This record gives sequence, C-alpha cells and structure tokens, in this order.
Amino acid sequence: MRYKNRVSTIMFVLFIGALVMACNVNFGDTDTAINDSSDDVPNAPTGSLEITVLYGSEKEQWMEAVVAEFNAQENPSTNGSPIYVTATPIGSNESLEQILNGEAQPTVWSPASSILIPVANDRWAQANEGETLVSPDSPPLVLSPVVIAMWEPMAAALGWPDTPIGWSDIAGLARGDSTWADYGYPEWGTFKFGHTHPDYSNSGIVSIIATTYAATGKTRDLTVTDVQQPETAQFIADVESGVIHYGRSTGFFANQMFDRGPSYLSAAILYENLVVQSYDTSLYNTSLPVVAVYPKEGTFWSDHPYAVLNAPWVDDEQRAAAETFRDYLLATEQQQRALEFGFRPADPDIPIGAPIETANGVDPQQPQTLLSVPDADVIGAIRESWGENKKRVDVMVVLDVSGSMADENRLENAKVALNSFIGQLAEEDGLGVTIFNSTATELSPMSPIGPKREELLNRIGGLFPQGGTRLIDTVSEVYTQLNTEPPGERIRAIVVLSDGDDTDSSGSTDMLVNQLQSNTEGDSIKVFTIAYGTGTDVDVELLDSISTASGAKSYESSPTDIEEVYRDIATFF
Amino acid sequence: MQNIARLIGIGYLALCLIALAGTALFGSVGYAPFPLSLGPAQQPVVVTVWYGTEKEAWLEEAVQQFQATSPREGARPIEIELIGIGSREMALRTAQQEWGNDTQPTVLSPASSLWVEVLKTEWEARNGGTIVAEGANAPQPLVLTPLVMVAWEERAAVLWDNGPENFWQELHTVITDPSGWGAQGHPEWGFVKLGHTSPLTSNSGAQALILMSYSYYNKINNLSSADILDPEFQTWLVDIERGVLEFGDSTGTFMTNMVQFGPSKYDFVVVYENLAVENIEAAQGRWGQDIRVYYPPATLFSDHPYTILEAPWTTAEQQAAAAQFRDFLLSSDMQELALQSGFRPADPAIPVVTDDPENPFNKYQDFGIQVDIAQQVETPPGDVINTLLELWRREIGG
Repeated sequence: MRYKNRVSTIMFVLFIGALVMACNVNFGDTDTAINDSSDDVPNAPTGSLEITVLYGSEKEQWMEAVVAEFNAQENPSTNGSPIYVTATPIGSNESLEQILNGEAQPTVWSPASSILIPVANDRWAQANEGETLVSPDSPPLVLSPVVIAMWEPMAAALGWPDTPIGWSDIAGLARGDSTWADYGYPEWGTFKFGHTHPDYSNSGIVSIIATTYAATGKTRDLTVTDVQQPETAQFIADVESGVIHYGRSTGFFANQMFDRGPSYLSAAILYENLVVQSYDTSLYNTSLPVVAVYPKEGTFWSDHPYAVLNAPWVDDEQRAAAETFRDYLLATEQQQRALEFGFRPADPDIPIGAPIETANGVDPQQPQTLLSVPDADVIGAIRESWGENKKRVDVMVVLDVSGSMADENRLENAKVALNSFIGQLAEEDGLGVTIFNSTATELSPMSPIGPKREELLNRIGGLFPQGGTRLIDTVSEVYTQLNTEPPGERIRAIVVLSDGDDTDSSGSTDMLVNQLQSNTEGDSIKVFTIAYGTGTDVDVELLDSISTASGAKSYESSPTDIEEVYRDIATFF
Repeated sequence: MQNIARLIGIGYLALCLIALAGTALFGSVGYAPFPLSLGPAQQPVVVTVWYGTEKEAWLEEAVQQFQATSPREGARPIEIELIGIGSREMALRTAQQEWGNDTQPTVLSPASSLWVEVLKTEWEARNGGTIVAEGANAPQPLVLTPLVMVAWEERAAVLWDNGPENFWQELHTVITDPSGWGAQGHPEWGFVKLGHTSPLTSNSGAQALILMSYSYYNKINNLSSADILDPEFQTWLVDIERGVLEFGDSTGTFMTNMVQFGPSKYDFVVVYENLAVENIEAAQGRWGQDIRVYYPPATLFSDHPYTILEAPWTTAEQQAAAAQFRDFLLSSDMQELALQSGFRPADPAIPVVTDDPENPFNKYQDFGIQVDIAQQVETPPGDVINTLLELWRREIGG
C-alpha cells in the first residue's frame, strides 16, 4: 500500500485508535447470580481487552487468588492492549443454561466437570446448525474426585477404610434398607444424606447419575430404557427421601455439614478438595474428623475443563487472550497453588503431596475406578426422572404486608418474585401462605399446590400494605404448626420476608432462637429469611439469627433483586 | 459546506498534533511512534510447518536452535513458523485448501507416512497432480517411534504376570467380561478400561485399529477390505472398543490424561513410545506406582515424514529454506536431542542405545522400554484403511 500523505494517514489511524480506546470495550453482561460471596466484580480498566470467564464456584478461592495476579501483570493482547480477566463463579449447570439461552456471553466457560461438555455441544448444535460450542479436548485446570464425605466414626461403622463402600451402600442407608441401628449405633438416629440440586450444580448431577447406576447395578452402558424402568424410578425416589435438602452450591453444603456436625448430615456428596479443607482450622472447627469415601463402583472426576467458546461473540483477539490466560493458569506456579487449596494439579509433573494425604481424610491413590459418563440423552432422562421422583417440599411463605411495604414498590415486586417462586414448585409440593402486619393471617393453609395454584396467585396479587410488623410471633406460630408434621418425609421450610423492625410481637428474639435450636437435626424445619428493602429499619441481625439457628440461609435483598433471591431459595427444594 | 469540511479537517489535524505531542512528551525513551523501516527491506522467508503435536517439545527446541544460527536463504533470513495440527486433519485440510485462521503450510509433518498417502490421494482426486515434492525434496522421516501399550504396573501384573502371550485377544477377553477386574480378583478396579485416541482424528488411534485388525486374523500383512467387512470381525472390534471410556483427539493429551487421572480412568492406553518415555517419572510421582510399557507382538512405526509442498502457494525460495531446516533437523545434534525425548533417530547411523545412562533406552529398561521390535505389520492400502475407519465411524462414532 502506498499513501500520498503517509504521516497524515498514520495520524488518522492513531486518532481512530484513541477513539476506540476511549470506549470501554466491554461485552458479555455476566449478570452475576447470587453467590455465597457476591463481591462486586471490578470493571475492566479503560483501554484493556476484557475477557470474561464463567467458572464452577468450587475453585473460587484458587481463581480469585490467581486472577488478581494475572490482571496485575497487564499481559498484552495480540493488539497490544493489556488483558483483563473478569471471572465469575457460578454453578456449572446454571452457567450452561445461561450460555445456551443467551443470558450470558462469556469468552471462556470452565464448568466443574467435562461431563457437561457433550450436553453443551448437543444442545448448542441443535440451535446452531450442528456447530460445536466447546472443544471436547478442553484441558483440565485442576482435578478433584467426587467423593462421599462422611464423619469418620460413621464411615468406620460401615467398614471404612478396610471394606470398600459404594453408592449402593449409601443408597441403602438413604432409602432405609438399613439404619444406623443395624450397624450398632442406634444413637445416631436416622441417616441424613445430602447432595446439591442437579439443575444448578455439577455434584448434584453426578449424584443422581451415580444413584441411577446403583439402581441398575451397572457401571457403564447406561441406557434411557434403564433410566425409565419403574424400579429405577422407585429406587431414586427412595434414595432422595433420605436427603435433608438440596442447594445450589457444593461449597455451601460442605459448610453446613462441617459447621453443624453429624446430627445435621451423616454424608454428603462433595469434592475431595472440600474434605481436605475441613481440616483447615482457620476455616472450620469440626466436632469430628471428616473422611472421603471413594465409591467402590467408581466415581467421576471434577476436572474443571477450560473451554474457549466457539461462539459468534468471541473474536480472534479475545480467543488469543483467553489462551494466554489458560497458559498462565497451567503454569507451574499457579498449579502449585491449586494444590494448597486441596486440588490435584492438572500439571502431571507436579507430584501429589500435602495437603492431599491420609492425615486430611483423603487418599492420594484413589479413586481406582470410574463410572462411565452416560450419553447426553441418558443424562437428560436421568434429570427428568429425578424431577419426578425427588423429595417434595412443604414450604410456608411468610410475607410482611406492613405499611412500609408500600415504599419503593416493595410489595408489588415481592409479589412478582413470589409468583415465579411458586412457579418453580411442582404440583405435589405443599405450599402455605401466611401474611402479617400487626396481626398474622393464614392466607392459605399448607396443602399441595396443584389444585390451588391459580386461586392462590390471585389472592397474593390482591394484597396491599398496611399496619405494623409482628414478625417474631408469626414465625414462631408458623414453626410450631409445621412442626406437627412428621420429620423426614418432606423437606420442611419457612420462607420469611420482612422489611421492618418487629413492632407488635410479645415474644423475644432469644425465645424464638431457642425454639429453633431445639432441633438441630438435618431434617428439622429450615427458616430462610429475607431482609428486604434499601435503607429500611429492618432488623438484619434478627433475621440472620433466625435462619442460622434453623440451619438455613439468610438474604438481604431489594425490590430489584428479590426475584433472584426467591429463585436461590427454591434451589434448596 | 467547504468551511465545515475545513473546520473538521483542522480539528482532526489539531487532535493528531496533540496525540503526536503527547507521544513525544510522554512516550518512553527510544519509543518510535511510527516504526518505519529504513533502506531496502530484508523480508524473511517464512517456512510454515504444520506438524503432529507428538513432537512439539523437540521441534520447538530445534526451531530455537535453528534460528540462533541466523539461517538465510540467499540474502533473506529464514523464519520458521510452527503450527500444531492433527495428522489426518492436516492432510484433509491441505487437500481441500481449507486454511481457517492458519497460515498455508510450506511443510507438512504428520505423525506417519500414512497421511502423506491420504494427502496424495485426496489432492489428486480434487485438484489433479500432486503437491508432494519429489526427488531431493521428497518426504523424509525425521524421527521414528513405535506404537506401544502403556499400563499401570499393578494391573498389568495381575493380567500379565508372565508377560502378554496373546496380547490383543487377552485384552479382548478381559474388556468384554462383564465382571471386569472382578474376574481377576480385583472388583475394586471396576471394568477394564482401554484407551486410544479417535482413529478419525488421530494417527495413533488409526494405527491401534489396524493392529487390532491384523491381530484378529493373526497375520501381519495383506489386510483386505473383505476382512474388515466380515461381521464376526466387526462384532469383535466393536466389543473391544466398548471398553474405551472416551476417545481423545491428541495422543499427547491422552498420555497426559493417563497420568492426571491415574488408574481410575485408564488401565491400558495405546500411545507412542516417546510419550511413554516422557511420562514415566511423572506417573511415579503422581500415583505412587509405575507405568509399564508393553510392545504388541507386531506394531507400526510412526516415521514423522517431513513433507515439502510444491504447491501453488509455496515459492521456490520457501522450498529451499524448508530443505535447509530439514537438514538441520536431521543433523546429528538434533537427532541426539530427539533421542533424549524418547524418539528413535531416523538416521540409522546414530545408535539408539549409547553408553549414556541418561539415554532413555538405558534409563527406562526396567519399565519395559526395549530397543528391539519383534515385527511390524504392513501398512494397509488407503481403501482398506478407509473401510476400517468408516466401520468405526458407523459403529462407535467417537
């Protein structure tokens, strides 16, 4: 190319370049879902090339540590801009759904497990003329096997470490074929089992696949026909009956187990790295040691593949930047750090050593075998079957309709959110609604939602704000009432939303907390609380102590994100 | 209108001047805002090599050393660009002239000559003639490596306490046994898991299928399409292939997986000897047990042919520069370097075994590494390979 006026042309290019740089090149609105640590993600600096990474929240601690260092290095992109990584932790199934429905457009997807890759490609291909979204050869970043985390005395009662324990043994306990009494420990009560929600979390999907294998006695070649057998469905229903509740995040589950002890959960499906972390006294003060049981029939690896998306919104410069970031994550230093967090490094040259050792409840020479990853259609059938056979919930929604709920359009937004919350419950799930201001009114008693869905939504729609706030007494009454239901058959939960300080109760906070703490078993009633509204006089501490005492989760929310909060609560059921 | 245009022009010029002044004032010392070359350009002759990633470490090191010699073709410096691509993919994409984001190749170096044959056939069918150089620049093997079986020691010891006698048949028996390792007294190891790459995308996977086919007929040459079409053979092959958990695309990644995931994922994998050598120590550190290398009773060598293309998109200068790089790769220093990473030198004058204790063929003898290869099978003709791959695609899919 020849230019008559070269300097002027170069100046023009510079000028345009400056203009482009002035615009913050941002894309991919990674609408962060509610996380246990929903720290605000800093914006990419002006002039940087931003790449966005949606990653399985299991590796959050490691990623947070290494991403900050990478960004500080200002590695140049192919066009010379410093690369800036915005990495967001999110449940693996959830991020998959967001990518497929266009809600999220990340540069890189790093789910907890490559099990999801065929599912992602299958569904992407259907909508995109057979295109492949993710390379099946996406390299693992860190590894951790899926394990059954158990309290050591309980594992020992089952014969650990000499007798191999498997999914079938856990299934047997969960469905009540055998009880702790059969193992000589009637004082341990019922077997309480937990895994996360398979629609959101990788360990949840892995749990239901493994349960299905256990139902069929197979370890490979699982077919849709196997899944659809009535005996398989019954087996799944029985195992699920032992589940105390579900949940979105494996990390939250681990916290609950380690903090609340063996009366809360006997066993949960977790990752090996979380078992290692339970020995970190700066994080937990467990009453008993936890051990990892590597199921005898085989397990799955959580291998955290790093996939640069073959999607139209990823350009060449971003792709190259994403590869630079990948190489950084796979470099020795970052891999060595992963080991510190209890992960097995992907770098094969790094030997497995402390903290992955028997002193921390894990065995570096396990697992010895795997279950075969079923085809995408089989996984689909398993998810469907689980939806039909999962444990049902009885949930009482307790809604504040005091006068202040008129501010910020709070009540109206809460109604919309409640509407979609109810939409997520199945016909057989039980739902009751109690409203309160200066008094409490049972809008609808606890009963299956199926026949009353429409009518109930209409009644909720007609609510209006007035009066004071009688919070403590209302929760206490609802709790007492729900407590008359037998424990264990259904997940029992109360979801309380309030925007104000208690003005009308006769009972005290301590009284209520004592009432809730009188039952710390895993199948106790869980009280989820939402402190609602911005700049209100809501008693956050009170609501927090209520949910903590019951073994549930508390939220702070405003009318703009209340829908997301209700959605998160629904993942526990 | 003219005034407005002039104003815009002046404004733009002013902004440019501000930008220039800014650069001059705040730019780092020695920073050239407009890097224009002075004098006649010494444009490098770029040789683009598409290569099978199995030899990545060796090639990258060799390129560095080559560039350090400041090689020239005539007055122009030579620059080597390496692009790692699967063997079958490079043959097909070159024949179809599908470049994607990659620079057009001057040289192809697939893992095996098999793919040069495929390139020739495909090119002729599509475009007529050939692009594979002949005469002095005809394809030449760079390094050699046989296909081997790598196994976890503990498991191999159970199956083959006296070494494999009837290699593939024995594997077939244990893989298809529904009680898996349970039949060998080790139910905790689950079913027997074999690993090899996808024969549709990877050379080692295709070689593994060929070896299994020969073994079924208990012969080492004259594999025919009729053999492949025999329904009993097909059932036998499909059964053994069902023991494979997943088929990767890259043999290197596959071997890495074996170390990463340990005996949980693969009991046995079919890979190149050099990859086995590279990973012996990592496996030890990782799983506290050794891997062992077994040689099938008859195997195939990968010869990594260096294939210079006389194609419409390559110049005589590039071809000459490519020949220089080839000669460098075949020099005794580079062949020694290849030996260190577990390849066998293509140059028969360079011995595989030396007195050097670090020589992998000494160092890893106890792991089963051996110099002598019993026998090789004959590479089947292209149409037989295609029939076999088509059968696999239809029945297994990958």
